Amino acid sequence: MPRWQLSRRAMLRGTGVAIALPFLEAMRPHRSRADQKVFPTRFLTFTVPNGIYMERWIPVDTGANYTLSPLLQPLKELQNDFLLLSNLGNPAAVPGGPGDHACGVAATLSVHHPHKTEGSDIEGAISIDQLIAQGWGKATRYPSLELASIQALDVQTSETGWNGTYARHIAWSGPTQPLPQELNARNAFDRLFTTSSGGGRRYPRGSVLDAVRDQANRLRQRLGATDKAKVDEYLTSLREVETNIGNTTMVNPGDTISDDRSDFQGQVRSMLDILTLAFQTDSTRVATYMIGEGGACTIHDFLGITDAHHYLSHHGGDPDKLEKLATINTWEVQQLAYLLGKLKAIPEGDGTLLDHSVVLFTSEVGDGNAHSHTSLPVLVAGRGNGGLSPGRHLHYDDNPPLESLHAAILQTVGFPQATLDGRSVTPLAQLQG
Amino acid sequence: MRLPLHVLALAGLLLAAACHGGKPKTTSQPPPPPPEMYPGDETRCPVMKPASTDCPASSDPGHVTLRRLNRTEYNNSVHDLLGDTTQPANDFPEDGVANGFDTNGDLLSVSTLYLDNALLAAQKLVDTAWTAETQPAVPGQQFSDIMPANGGTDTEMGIHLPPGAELDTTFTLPGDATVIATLIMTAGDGSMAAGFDVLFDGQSAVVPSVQWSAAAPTTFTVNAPGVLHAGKHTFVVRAKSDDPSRWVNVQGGVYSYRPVAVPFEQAHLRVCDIDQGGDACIQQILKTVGRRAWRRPLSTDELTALLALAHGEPSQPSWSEAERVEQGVRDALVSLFASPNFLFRVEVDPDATSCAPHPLEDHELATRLSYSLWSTTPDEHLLALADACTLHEPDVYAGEIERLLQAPQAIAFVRNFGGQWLQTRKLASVQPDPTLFPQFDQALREAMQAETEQLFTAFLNEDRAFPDIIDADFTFLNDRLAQHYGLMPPGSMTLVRTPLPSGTLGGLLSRAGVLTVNSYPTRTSPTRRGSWVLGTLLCAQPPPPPANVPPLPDTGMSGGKTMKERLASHRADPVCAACHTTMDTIGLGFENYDAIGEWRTTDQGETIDPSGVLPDGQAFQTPADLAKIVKNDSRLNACLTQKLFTYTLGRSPTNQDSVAISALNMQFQQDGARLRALVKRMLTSPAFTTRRGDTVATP
Repeated sequence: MPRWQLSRRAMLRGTGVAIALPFLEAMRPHRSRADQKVFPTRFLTFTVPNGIYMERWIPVDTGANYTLSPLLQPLKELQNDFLLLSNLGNPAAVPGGPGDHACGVAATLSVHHPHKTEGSDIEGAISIDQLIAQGWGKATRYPSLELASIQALDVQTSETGWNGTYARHIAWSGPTQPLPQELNARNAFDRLFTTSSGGGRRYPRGSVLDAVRDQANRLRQRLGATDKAKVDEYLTSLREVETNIGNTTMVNPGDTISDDRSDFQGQVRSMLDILTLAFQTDSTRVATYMIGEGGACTIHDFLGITDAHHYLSHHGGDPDKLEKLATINTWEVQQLAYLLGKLKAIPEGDGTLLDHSVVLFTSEVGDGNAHSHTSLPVLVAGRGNGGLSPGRHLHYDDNPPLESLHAAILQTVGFPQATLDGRSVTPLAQLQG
Repeated sequence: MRLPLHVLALAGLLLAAACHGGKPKTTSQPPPPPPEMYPGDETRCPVMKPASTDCPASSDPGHVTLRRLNRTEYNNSVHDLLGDTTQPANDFPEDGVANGFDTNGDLLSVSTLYLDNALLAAQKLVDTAWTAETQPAVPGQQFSDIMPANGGTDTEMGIHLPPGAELDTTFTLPGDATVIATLIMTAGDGSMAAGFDVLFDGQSAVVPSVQWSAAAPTTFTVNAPGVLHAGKHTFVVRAKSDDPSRWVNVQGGVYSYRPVAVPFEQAHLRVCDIDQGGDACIQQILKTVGRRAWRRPLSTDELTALLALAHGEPSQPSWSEAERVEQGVRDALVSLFASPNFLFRVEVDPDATSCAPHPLEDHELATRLSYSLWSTTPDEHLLALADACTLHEPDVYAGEIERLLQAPQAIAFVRNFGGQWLQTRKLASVQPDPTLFPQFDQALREAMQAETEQLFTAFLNEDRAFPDIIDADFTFLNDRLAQHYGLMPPGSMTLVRTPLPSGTLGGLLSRAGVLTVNSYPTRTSPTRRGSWVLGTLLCAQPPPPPANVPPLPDTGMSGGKTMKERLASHRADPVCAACHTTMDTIGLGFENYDAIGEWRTTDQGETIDPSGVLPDGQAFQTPADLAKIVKNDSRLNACLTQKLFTYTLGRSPTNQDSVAISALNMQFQQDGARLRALVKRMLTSPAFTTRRGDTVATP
């Protein structure tokens, strides 16, 4: 298992409060010798809710050196670091009735049409990020990282016939296993890292964990199959947690991690910092991040908007609502730009962390007003370790399904044999120019 | 008078002995029980095995999947068990919700993220509670007013006590504490018997039998009986008078005390004094806390394993014996709260693969009952009845249901059942536009929340037909809320029950809390309100959408002056009209209430016309007319029954359950549609009081 090392001096540098972080150059993979720079290809999905104002998203021309659309302006400095892919759809996300947000989120990375239910018989499918995480196996401390910033906490509401779980979870490790996200930036940070100023978390001692494992095993013997599966979840999770206890990486976050869970903007920023650090330290190679659940009613009061995002997305052509929507979308793209900028600022070998990444940006619907699943906002940033040739706008006339992009991503990150939803899919062409 | 100096010097040597109890014996771990032996079996009440292996559909309780405590239940449980007020589960991953409730075992999963949080919480909770209940011992205190009496004399060798003589001293405690006195003595004749008594406040303490040594002074450690209160106390050493040839010499003495932060009988963890009680106390702590945390007495095997953990090896080589013991006990306590036996509400079957129903074991029943009505762990009263195996007796059980319903903790049922069913739990997170509704503040939000809760509580506690909750002629107001409704303020900051003037509609449909959660931040949503009445109150399933309908471009709701005209587009398309006609008609009936439930007669300058005609032909002119229609809808009671069934059982109802639900609903009608009666019927129904194994094949 490769670990990444920090020089002792680098660790000591970060005493006290947050300061800039040049020290991470000092890190290099254990197994790579100076002359053999092999960096893993990281995969991150960054989703925004309620679609995008597509008229201001899709550029007017295609190819290299295309004219950036208004909503892509925040990415101006990064134009050569991403591919803009237009006219991709996700047929699996079509609910057949209401439920576009729930169905859309659950189908984004699984490209599987989830089972419609408000009850407990949920059924999705393993998502592409989890296929990749399984591919990496135990290569990193965490197989994958699931983060989200949800404003309306504690309210998980079903969407006309669809269990609320669908709208909240983009990563699925199996048909009935949506992966919950860490929603608190401070906790996300503390789970992964320690800083020179200490911190860290106090887990029960090893003998305690042995005792509870024993308790679980005894309990298990007495249960029927369904209940046994619950205790098995406990035992599996116990093993996972144990692996990571005391195995945090010492970092200097460089940025202040938000302690205030009600500060939505601060939480988002901190989550992006954490994602960057997680990749940088090779704590994980796979992550998903949702700014808001599908159909989110987030109120962007920090942008001067007091209407709920979902309400605005059903703008009906109302110019006032459209302007607010554009403001929200611009802010979302700025967050993406911030993340990509951070990844790009981290040198790895002859390139950057962004060069060794695939960052997929999308939403559960295309045009939020129409709940369309035929033309999605899709942006793929990074060079995928040479598997992607960014800097272009590709328009696909034949309206290919999202799964063809996923197949191409699986190839790029090095797991071409993995199959999505049990289907064999032709990878999307032209990503490597 | 003071003890000679050399005695004071001795005191320093005594410190270690004073604050550390005797070394506990190491318990070796017993061989693991044979696999068929279930932990706790010996302390379980006998469970009647099913008389037959038949599985009649009519009495099938269904299989309830092993339920993890949800976040609310976890927070409440650790509050009751450990005095926690930090609500650690708020940072746990969100619980899955099925059919509107977060009590469904199938969706209460244990992810890595969840367990990571639960393990951290267990450690933190025990650390916090233990520290709060444990003050460090204060060692080496000198006695005052040292005075030989009845013939005792102060000598170079200490206080000399011939038979019958005594040493009188006092000491003062700053607060309640357990006290240990340490004495260094020699006996005149090398006798093997103690030969003296020790009295704290005139009460004899047990003097341990220690072999006197003629050659050297002997150390005696004597515990004061029980807890001594703050203030001055007397301490007396008296030589026995039965044998005139024996005398004792007290060369030195100190006392140590450990302040009692929490009286033992009120303690969550430290229910006795380990310094004094040693192994017996450790065992008592684990037994007591274990029974509370796991909601059943521990078996001998379980206790043995916990004791082994408590006596484990120290993790710091530098630790003293007392530190090691304390750490061990804390470890064992942490394991109790990190255990699946705490995190899950364990129920077991005589045969895990049989579908034949059997009654729940008494502790399981206590647990189901407590979490259903109080959303927390069973209290001592319930546990005691379960320990006595009498809870399942119909009279006892009915008495407990009544007791729980009457207790203040029953607010949990109102909040978690009522609040999730009626979706008013969402009030905590709604954010009306502050520019349009500057009057919406935290005080109003809380008053709205409290109003719906108290209204629901009134219908739970009083002899009223439940459907009257729809248009009740009373409500609960404080000045803030009364002002919001344009009613006479009752002159109170807290909510008080207030009859409504005639002509003012009361009841759920017109409560600001309900209207606000079914609005957008900037405006009302008749569609949401209509959908709430149909889906939430009446459990009316929307007609299935036609197959393969592509999503329609939303042309918006422009083109009309009034909300009614704007919403007409929803009904222009027959596909939309199937659902929207009813939803919008109902929702428009409440347009007189704005997005935070204030009464209005115009909207953006246009007069509001709330009247409408439902698809079945029922017409209404006012919100009150519409409320009457909803109130008389037979689906209302059936819907409540179904929701209650789902909430209390923690599983999605199946087609097969329709028999049981119909039967409950029938009884509900016969009981005059009283909510309390329905709750009792539900909690005494076979679906609740029995269970069966799992018919899914074991992998």
